[in-house]
Amino acid sequence: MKCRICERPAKKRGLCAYHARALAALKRGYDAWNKAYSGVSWKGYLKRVKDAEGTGRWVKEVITVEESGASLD
Amino acid sequence: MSSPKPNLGAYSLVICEKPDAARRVAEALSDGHPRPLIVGGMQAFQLENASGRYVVCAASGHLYGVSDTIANRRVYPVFDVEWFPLDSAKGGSRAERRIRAIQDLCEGATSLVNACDFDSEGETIGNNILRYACNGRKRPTLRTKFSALTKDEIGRAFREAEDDAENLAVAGRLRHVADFLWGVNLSRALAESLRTANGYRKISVGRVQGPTLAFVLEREIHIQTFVPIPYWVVTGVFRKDEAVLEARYSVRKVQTKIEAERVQGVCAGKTGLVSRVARQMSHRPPPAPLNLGDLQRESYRLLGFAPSRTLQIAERLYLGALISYPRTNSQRLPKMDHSLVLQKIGRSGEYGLVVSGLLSRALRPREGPASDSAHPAIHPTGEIPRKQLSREEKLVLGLVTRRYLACFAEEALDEMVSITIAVGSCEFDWVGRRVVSPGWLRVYSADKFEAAGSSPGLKEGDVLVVDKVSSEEKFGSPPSRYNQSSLLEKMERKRVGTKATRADIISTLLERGYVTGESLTPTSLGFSLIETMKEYCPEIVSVQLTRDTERRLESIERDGGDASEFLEELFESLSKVLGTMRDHEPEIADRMRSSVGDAAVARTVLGSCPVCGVGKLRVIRSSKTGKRFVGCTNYPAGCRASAPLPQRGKLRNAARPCRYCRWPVVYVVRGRRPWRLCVNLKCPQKAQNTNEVPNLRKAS
Repeated sequence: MKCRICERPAKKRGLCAYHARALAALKRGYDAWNKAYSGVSWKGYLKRVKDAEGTGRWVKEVITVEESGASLD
Repeated sequence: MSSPKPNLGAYSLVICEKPDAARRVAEALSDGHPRPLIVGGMQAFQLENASGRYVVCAASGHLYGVSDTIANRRVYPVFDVEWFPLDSAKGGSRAERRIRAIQDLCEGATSLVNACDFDSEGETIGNNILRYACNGRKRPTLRTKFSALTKDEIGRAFREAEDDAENLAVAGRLRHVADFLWGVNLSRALAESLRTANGYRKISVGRVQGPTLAFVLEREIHIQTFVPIPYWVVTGVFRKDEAVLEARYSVRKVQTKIEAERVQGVCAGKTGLVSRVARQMSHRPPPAPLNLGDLQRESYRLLGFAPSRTLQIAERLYLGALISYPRTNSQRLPKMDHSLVLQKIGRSGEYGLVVSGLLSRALRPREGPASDSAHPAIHPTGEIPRKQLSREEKLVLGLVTRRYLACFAEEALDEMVSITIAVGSCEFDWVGRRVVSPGWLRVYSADKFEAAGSSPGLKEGDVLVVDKVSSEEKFGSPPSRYNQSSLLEKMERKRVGTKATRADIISTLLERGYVTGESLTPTSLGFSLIETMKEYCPEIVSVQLTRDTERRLESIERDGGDASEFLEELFESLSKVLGTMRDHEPEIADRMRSSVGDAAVARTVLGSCPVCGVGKLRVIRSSKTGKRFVGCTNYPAGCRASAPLPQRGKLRNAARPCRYCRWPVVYVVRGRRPWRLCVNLKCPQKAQNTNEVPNLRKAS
């Protein structure tokens, strides 16, 4: 089975190792953002991370899928 | 047609690594007057001195290389290898001609002297010549060890020449065999897997390339999975009379917005109290002498030269007797009278003042921790260049000279001032540094030092007006990609490769299209290669394999060891890996197919099409005529941009397009010097050149 985002073989949750790692980093980041702003919505978080300088390409690709409504969980 | 064999009487045959080194050695042994001798088209030198008669000849680097005994490139595994004259398959190669000339000279020699560079590569070159060209070393053989091609150093090396030791050569030859076997077998296994996939099959990987590429990939994965985390930087602007001071809140990165706002709130309308003023002198010792890694890093940092280019330049300077042997790990200068070298350096106007300052006190050079039993740190010899140096040679020689001088200079002295300002419960810091005594910084001025400035004249107990306290939202940054210099440093730290090969390995990764750009970015081919290797041959991307191999070879080099045991273990590891790869050929082909296809296309793309602005200009081979030309990928949509190309020679894409017409520029590599060519026939620059010719004729 191929990754839902790229052509690499899927490892878990339909994602390749890189996109799975990006998703995990995104989830970890949400805790830090939530604390930093004393509460931020998941959607708001995704939008801001996507626009932030330095966000990795695979993280942005994961966000695009999340924003499209297809949950990666 | 072979040339007549020279009749020279009894002599010792001295074998050097390069023709320039042979000339230097001959001149040093004969007080500058060797008699040139042409043997089989190769230049040698004959001379006589108090110790006897000598003929000095040279290899031109490696004359022999490892190759498999089977000529079929589709066969693997390959275990049966032999040393052959380089390019012998082509017949009458330059190496073969040189070997024949050395054989002729060897026939009349009563003894042999191996005067190749004293390191693993030099020993391998010399040993192979003695073994294959000089009939198995049936004559007494001596080994000279010198670290600079100066008269004194060469004279000393010949006086102290020792019996030739085998260990270094055995290790050097084994390293070549191991690298060849890993490289050829894995590359063939990959090629066989891909044979049915598509046309691009030149995929190579080796025991050093693998882990090096894996470093670049690991960094890229980190960058592409990076999520920036916010933080705030709080800054206060304080004033006392006319003096204004900007200080940072003592917590450098405030983790929450609410905390940043709290600090701003606490400070609003308050005054600040200077609670602490600390002054501290800090000593900056001179830098250690350069080893090869240091030189390559400094040259990249200060001159922008890639590590492989720096090594080439350093080798030229060594052959010109201007610096000591560059392939060294040592950060320690040789035990010698450095005042003599300094005096020679001081004779050039550029360093006269610095040198007289250094010679006015006891010379005690700074030394680094790294050592090398074969050669000292890289240092200038103080010799005057015999020929005009190129710009880049001057720059690297200047760098080596300045660093050498800096090692003898005094340490630099800085004054650090730190001021703490308390505003309620919050503290702000101001830190400043000024150079009190530049010391070695004056010599090694490439290291910029801050102009001596004064710190704000504040004392403890001073009350300051808080002009403004602001907070700035910032985000964490991903790690930087490696550049050639930082990757070289990583390889050194992880003990991957040897000092002599690291720079070449990086160049190979670029040439093969596994990484690209100044900031080294892995391509999709690089990714899929390492992913595939990690799955089916994890040993080749692990640092452990190459580190263990190096450790074994170093041990053989140092204490001797069982070469056959080393080879047996190598065959065993290879057989295991190749068996796995053969079992998974279809899966490997599947994993690599698309990236190999992309890479094949990417290699033909020269740049964006300046005509349509949409497509890419790429090299296409006509199916009718077989000739190559440049065409636009947007041809189906109507773009007719095209241009002819030279039909012979390799094409290498230049980094930038033509500055006159924006069409791609290529280097045509044919013969010694690449030829730079804008592919656009109608380039305004070409038209200008064409117009200039009649004008010049008119003028003449």
